[in-house]
Amino acid sequence: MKTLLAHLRGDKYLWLIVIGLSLYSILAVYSSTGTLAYKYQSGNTEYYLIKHLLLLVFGLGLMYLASLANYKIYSRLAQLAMYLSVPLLAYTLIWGSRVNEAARWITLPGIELTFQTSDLAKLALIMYTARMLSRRQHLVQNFREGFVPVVLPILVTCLLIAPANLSSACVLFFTCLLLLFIGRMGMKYMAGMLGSAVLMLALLAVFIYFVPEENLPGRMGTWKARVESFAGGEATESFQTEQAKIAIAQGGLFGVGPGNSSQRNFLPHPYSDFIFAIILEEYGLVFGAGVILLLYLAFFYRCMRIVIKTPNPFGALLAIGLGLSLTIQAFVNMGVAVSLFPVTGLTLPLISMGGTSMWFTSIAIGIILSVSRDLGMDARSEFEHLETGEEEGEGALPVPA
Amino acid sequence: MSDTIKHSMIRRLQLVLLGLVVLAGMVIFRAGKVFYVDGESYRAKADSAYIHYRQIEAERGNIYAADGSLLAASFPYFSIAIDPVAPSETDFRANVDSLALCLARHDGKRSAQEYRRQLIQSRAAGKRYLRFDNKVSYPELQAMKNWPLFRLGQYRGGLVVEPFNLREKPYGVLAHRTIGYVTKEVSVGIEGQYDGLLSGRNGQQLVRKISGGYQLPLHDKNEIEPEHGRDIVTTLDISIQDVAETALEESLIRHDAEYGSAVVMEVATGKIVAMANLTRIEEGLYFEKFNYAIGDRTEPGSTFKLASVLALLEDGRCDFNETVDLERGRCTYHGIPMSDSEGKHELTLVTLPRAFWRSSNVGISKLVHRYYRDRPADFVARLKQFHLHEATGIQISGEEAPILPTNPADRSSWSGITLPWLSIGYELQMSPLQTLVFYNAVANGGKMMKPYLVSEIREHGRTVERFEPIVVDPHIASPKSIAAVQKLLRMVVDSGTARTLKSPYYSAAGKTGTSVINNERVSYHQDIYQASFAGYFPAEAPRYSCIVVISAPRRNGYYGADVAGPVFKAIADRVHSSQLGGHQPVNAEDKLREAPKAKGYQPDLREVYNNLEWPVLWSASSEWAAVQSSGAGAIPAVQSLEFADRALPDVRGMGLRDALFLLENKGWVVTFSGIGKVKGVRRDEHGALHLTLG
Repeated sequence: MKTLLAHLRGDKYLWLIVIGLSLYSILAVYSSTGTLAYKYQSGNTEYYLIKHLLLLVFGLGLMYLASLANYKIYSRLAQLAMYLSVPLLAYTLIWGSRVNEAARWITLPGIELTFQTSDLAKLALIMYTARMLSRRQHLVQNFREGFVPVVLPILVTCLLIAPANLSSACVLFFTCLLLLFIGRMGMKYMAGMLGSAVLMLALLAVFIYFVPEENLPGRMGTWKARVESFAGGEATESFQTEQAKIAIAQGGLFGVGPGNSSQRNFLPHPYSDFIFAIILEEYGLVFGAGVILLLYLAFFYRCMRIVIKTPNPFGALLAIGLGLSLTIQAFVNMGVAVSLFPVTGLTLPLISMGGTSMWFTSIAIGIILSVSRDLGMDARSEFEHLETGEEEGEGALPVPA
Repeated sequence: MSDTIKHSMIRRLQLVLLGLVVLAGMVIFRAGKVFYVDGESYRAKADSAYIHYRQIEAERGNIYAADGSLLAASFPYFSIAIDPVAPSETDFRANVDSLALCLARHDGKRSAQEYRRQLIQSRAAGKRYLRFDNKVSYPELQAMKNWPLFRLGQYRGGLVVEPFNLREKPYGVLAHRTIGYVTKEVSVGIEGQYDGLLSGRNGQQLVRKISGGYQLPLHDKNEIEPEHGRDIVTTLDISIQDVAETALEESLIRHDAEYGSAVVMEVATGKIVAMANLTRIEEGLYFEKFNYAIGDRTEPGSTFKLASVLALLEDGRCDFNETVDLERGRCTYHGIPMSDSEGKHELTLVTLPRAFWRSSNVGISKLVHRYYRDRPADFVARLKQFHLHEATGIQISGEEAPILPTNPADRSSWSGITLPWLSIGYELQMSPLQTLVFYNAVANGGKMMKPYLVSEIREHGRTVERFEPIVVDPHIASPKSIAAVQKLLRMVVDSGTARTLKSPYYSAAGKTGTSVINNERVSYHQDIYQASFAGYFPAEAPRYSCIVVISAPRRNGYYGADVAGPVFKAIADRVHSSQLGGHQPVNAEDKLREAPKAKGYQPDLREVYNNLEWPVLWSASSEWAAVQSSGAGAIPAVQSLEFADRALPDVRGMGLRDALFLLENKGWVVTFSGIGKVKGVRRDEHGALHLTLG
């Protein structure tokens, strides 16, 4: 392990946390894909284990590659990714393949790889926001020069994601909001932004509430059902919520042991959306919830350490933005499993079985690691430039004509 | 200054971290609450009996005959129960009497009063599940749904319906064993062989058990739709199968034989068009129990002489002028006597063809012995050339390769008498189908076809796989030898042992076989025989080959020609008359003939005359009509028949079916005698009508 870590660049603790979460992932996915294996692979349970392992290893490879790059290039990449992701989101919304009325997926021609456009957009948006925030630090109190250019991409992206995947859009919006907060965006603008978002959601809720379910377009019917079931308490508890609670009730303090879950047979998507319930059932409050929560908190803390130590404001915002995104998604997923939040389709990053979305997570962590590679308080702090808005770092990169 | 920005960021970060820690606490708290506070009730719900997966049975595929007739299919049935608690008090009171009446009328097992009492008592006792009828068809169910109370719907009416499928064979015993069946213990025939394809894949559905034996489906994402099974189209021809089955049964009954089998194969393709197998249950009663055609290897006896003669001709050892001394029906090899099946006779020196169509054991064995005694391996090589050591590879299981001694050097399996006995069909075992494939190859000019029973696999009516004829060997022997043995086989029917099978309408060729059975159950000296006939028709341009094997006939003879031959003939007669241009269209050669007369139900008559392509001026209105000749070459006229209500209709000239319909509908008691159309009607002393047919 030591020698392996010696070869890895960047924050060793982050690597350890990733490996720890991956171990949980392998165990929980293997245990919970039993029903899938029974259904589609005539009981060959190794099929999903091996598939998951391959995806995981490939993800770790991507992470390693992303960590090798000088993080400063991600500033320019963020811009490119942003220009790419907005049209892609629009394309997906109109022509993407639909699963339960949710157009989330597109297939890359040629290699037949399917991915959720919102995963790419999320990564792009956070990187881009970090870039904009760091470059306009001196303008954060200026509405036209500071606030609007930073917030516009956030609004566009979230609005494009929302019709197919409202919860992802909300979580992303909230993450960006926190990032703006950390990036010292003017509080009055932030309050206005939050206020208008809440107002929009409220209008949406009223609309959905008063229109009968069968007349609701798109996924609004699903949203209504989920929120109603969440708000109604135990009486209206949805099937999945109930099954998740049964899993938690079975697990207790120390769990029923690896591979002994019985709720995996009844919970829909026990290997992705509700994997935390299965972990709670098999490993209990202590070794399941406790350890995993600590790992995610530690993850966030390591990202904080980067902010403290990095001399570069873009790097700081990049690391904390990506770290925040991952941590918040994890907490929302876990919150859903314990019915703290209404049911969403968010996965538990690094743990849920998933294809391409896992790779985007890996790339995000790789980027954080690449920032963590050159820290050091003794380096000349580039935070000084922020007051004046002087260009930082990028001068070294070739700028396309 | 820079530090101020950084510190401000870090302070904000600390706030966010604090938020996350709080959130983590809430997650733990919620999980703990679920476990400690509500744990008991959730753990109770985890009882696996409470929620479980129910299988959704996949629809089994159908099996069809070549013409698309349904040979086996699954039909939906429903088991019916009543939940007397479900209806509201008002609904229940208003309908219980009439419902009880419907229930009583439906099965007649109990009176309406009893049902009424039972319904009321069960309702009072809170019993939610009263089994009513375990097997109700779909139309019956539709009717039931309109019964009082039930018509209020599933939840208000209390009708509990559970569907299930039953496998049925619309043609009953016809090809029962060939079509096969699948039970927990055994799976045989096409059903067994293609079980994987036919059965499809069951689906599953998560259901929650609720009180009263209900299973409430939980529509979740784990539901798997059942994948329905595929359909299988066989090569079986229902009408030929029918005649094969009937003729075989008649012969088995007539001879009180142990079992029998008849297989008909299309010469050019190898398609099995009929495969009948009957086993004696008791005297006069037979059933399709075992596929002897495929699974019963026995010593074939004289039908094997075809192979011996073909080998002799193929080796150029002898021709039709070769002579052999029959020694009056008896000779010995190494001191072991061999005799002709009819015992002693007066014949001595005869030609090879004569020895063959007399089916002389002495003659054939002496010829083979004469030429192969010193090099028996050559004889074996010829048999192998004819593929007589190979299994046919038919698509259903149970077949084994023939047992043929193939190594003359091996003293343990090859003795001095092996060659002569082998040449007349002993010392080896093969199944009827294997013999048939050989005869079919001869009929097909030497081209051996692989027999097959399944021609297509379909899914939702679309063909997903089609099986084409497979040539095993384009030439099992030279065309000259094949032509020669074809001539021999034809002579067997024309003037040999199978003379009785000769038909004036078509030609047939074949070979009889009468062998003494020797197996685990009976030995040679018990004189129990197996009668067989293998052949094909029409001899000049063979369309079908056929083998009939009847084991252990107990009475009325035991020769192949007498016992198995008639089955062959019945099949050939029927196929000839229905398919091979047996009947000439009435008007084909002579338009000027007089129209046939007929009387009866007009739509039926129309169909008959239309099929005969005989123009008739039909009457527009009446149900009943008589077609009368208007002289040779003229279009016959139709007389409408009206029968007054009370009068005795004039049924003379009608078929029995029409006559019975008319008379019995008017309340007459009718008896009849004879065959044909109604000739005379007579009223007997009891007032019943007696019809004389002729």
